[in-house]
Amino acid sequence: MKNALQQPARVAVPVGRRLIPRPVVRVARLEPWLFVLPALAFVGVTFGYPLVDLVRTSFTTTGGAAGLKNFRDLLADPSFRLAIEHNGILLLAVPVLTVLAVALAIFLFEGIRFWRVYRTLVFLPVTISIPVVGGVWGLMLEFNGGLNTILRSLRLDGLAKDWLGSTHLALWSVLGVIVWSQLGFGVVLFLARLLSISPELFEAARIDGAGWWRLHRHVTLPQLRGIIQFYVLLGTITMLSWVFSYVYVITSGGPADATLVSELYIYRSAFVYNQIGIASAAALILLAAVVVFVFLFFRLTGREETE
Amino acid sequence: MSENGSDGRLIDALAGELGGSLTRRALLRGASGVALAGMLGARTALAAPKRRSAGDLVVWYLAAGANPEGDKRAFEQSMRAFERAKGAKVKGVAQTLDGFIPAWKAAVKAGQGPDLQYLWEGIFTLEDAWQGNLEPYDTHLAAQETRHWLGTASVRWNGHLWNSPRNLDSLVLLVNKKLLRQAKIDPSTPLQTWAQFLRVCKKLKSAGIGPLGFGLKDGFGGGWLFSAWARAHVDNVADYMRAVVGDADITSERYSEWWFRLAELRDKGYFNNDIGSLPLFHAVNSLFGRGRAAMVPAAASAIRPLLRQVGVGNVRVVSVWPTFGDGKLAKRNITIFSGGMVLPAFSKQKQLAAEFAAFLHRPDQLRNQYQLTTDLPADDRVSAGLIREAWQLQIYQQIKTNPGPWLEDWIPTQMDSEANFSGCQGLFAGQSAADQVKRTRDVLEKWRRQSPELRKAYRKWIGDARRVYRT
Repeated sequence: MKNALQQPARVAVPVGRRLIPRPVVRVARLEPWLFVLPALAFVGVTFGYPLVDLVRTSFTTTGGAAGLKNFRDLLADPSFRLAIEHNGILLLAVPVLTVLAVALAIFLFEGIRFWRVYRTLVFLPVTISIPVVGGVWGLMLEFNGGLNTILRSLRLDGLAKDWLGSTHLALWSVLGVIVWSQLGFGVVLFLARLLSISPELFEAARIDGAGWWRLHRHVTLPQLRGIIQFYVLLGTITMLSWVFSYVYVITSGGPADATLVSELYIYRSAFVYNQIGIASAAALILLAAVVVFVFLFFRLTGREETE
Repeated sequence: MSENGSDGRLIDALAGELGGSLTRRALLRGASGVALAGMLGARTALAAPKRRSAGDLVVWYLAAGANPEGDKRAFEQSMRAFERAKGAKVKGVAQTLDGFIPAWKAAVKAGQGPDLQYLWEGIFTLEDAWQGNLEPYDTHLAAQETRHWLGTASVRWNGHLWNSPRNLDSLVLLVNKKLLRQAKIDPSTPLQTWAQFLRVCKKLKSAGIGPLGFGLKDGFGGGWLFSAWARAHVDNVADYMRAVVGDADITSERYSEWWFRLAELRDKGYFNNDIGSLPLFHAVNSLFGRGRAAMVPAAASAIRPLLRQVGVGNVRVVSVWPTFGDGKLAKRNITIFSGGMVLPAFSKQKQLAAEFAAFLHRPDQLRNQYQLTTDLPADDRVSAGLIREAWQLQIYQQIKTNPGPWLEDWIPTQMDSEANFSGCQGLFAGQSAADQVKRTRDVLEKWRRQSPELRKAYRKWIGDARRVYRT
């Protein structure tokens, strides 16, 4: 009986002396695409169609086709430029999160007592929904809220600032809440990678006389490199296009647009001001910025790996 | 095809498992057919709108007001009563405060959705009317029905009526009489002029009592302060609207003095020191309820819990705000109907939907709504005898006899959000009043540039505004 795992024999049709193989190879090339087709169709419907509509709408106003008017209005709008600037400031959370998460992961990896309990505690904020995080921190950071009450009771009145009411401090306060909320994810990610590294690597380094710092600089960090790159990429995309919930719940973009970010700008333009064309143009610019960043990121990291 | 033919082997293995005679080509054909059928089926399911029977109504409503639970029950009872009366089926879908606008915009874009939709009054309704998303009520209901609806001044445009109000509300100043007595102030002292108002604030502050309580973190408070004081020198709401479209100078004292008066209150320390970090309703409830502020702005629909906390006998309701101006509007109270039902232009049941909106205004339905919510009815066919509490009756009488515009609903939402909300936050974060006047001017210039079609429709609205508030 024919073994199903064996390759079927090539069947040749002799024409003169040439052998013409069956078109098995052409079908085989199509196979992977046929299996991917349903998922591609789903992505096409849920992402592709809205994207096409977004591009179309960005060139229209309520009066009809508008050419580049929306983009011109957008770039001339100081609120939009301010929103982009704020997204840029929030990007500072990425290196802070990365450094803190790596440090905490190494700390837990060192095997301190109750490290599993600490891991759970660090991860807990990640499990709390953002509206709850925003609501609780919104209360804590009020001028007469929990944080300032504690500071005043410790006679640190000078540190009791108007965290959410000051135009200079509000964005940094939101950044702090984001770091608090997201840190645990990075810790767990890096810790999982650390736990998968062969312990022989560390033993060999110690035998060679590596101290704590050299061990982690020359063994741990290189091993974490790939996952750090992934985390930085994810964090950057988050700060550019996933901070709406934090800002909306904690400050609603205030005070005086001091925490306005691009997503909130888009939301307001579309659903509050009825300026769908401008909102679409802003969304397109944001998408383009993220795509360019991701492309450059992969080029850079790909080049480093080649070197 | 991989070099070792692994892909081919897998398919052959599968073919072998399913039956020796099934070739790889047949298997691939079969899988493709299943995938294609699945996609076509999904497309058909997504594209085909759910069939509704003729006579079915879909209502997207927001249970709001003083008692949202009661309002929801009132809505549901009205829907059931309408079903019995008309033999039609009514499906009510309760919306959320944050979700109802995005859901409505999505329905408009899709061209399908509810037959009746909840929308706020004024500009929030008319921007959709201007874009052709709504149907006016007067094309489906007789004038002798709609003329009984109260508070509709802000939803009349181009000679038509665009919203059916659900309930009335008013922006008042609540005064804690007990705290005034503590500061040795007569609780019935007049609070009509700015000088009288400042005198009371000064005495309260000297007695160690917070004169005014407010919150600006969520932004809404800016719109309240604007509605209370920006009309100080204005005789007719159309006056202010002229400045919005650029026919008058928005930076002139006539329209901008209120920023400087607000800065005056700030500089004298009459507001709570955490105004920038407190949300509006939380601030009003906690500061007034706990006796940390003697006076707070409040929506009439939200007063009852405060009265319970402070004691009805200890609260004075000031319906006409203290003013620094001589404008006729400044002597009126601030009336609003927060929201009501609009007729979507895409509805296939417009007549039936309009009849349901009218049904909600039947005296028995309004009485039931009042019993369940205690919201002031937006219809003059309901006897004032329904209202038992003196403070609410006082507000209701003021609304009927001395109505004035809630100015926030007569300006573009972009101006409200970017000038009033942000401006008040900036002012209390230390920026100057002049900065906020400049901000208002810049925001309006931006609105005129970015929304020329809305500006054209808005200009047309000015004519209607001049007629509805004859002062």
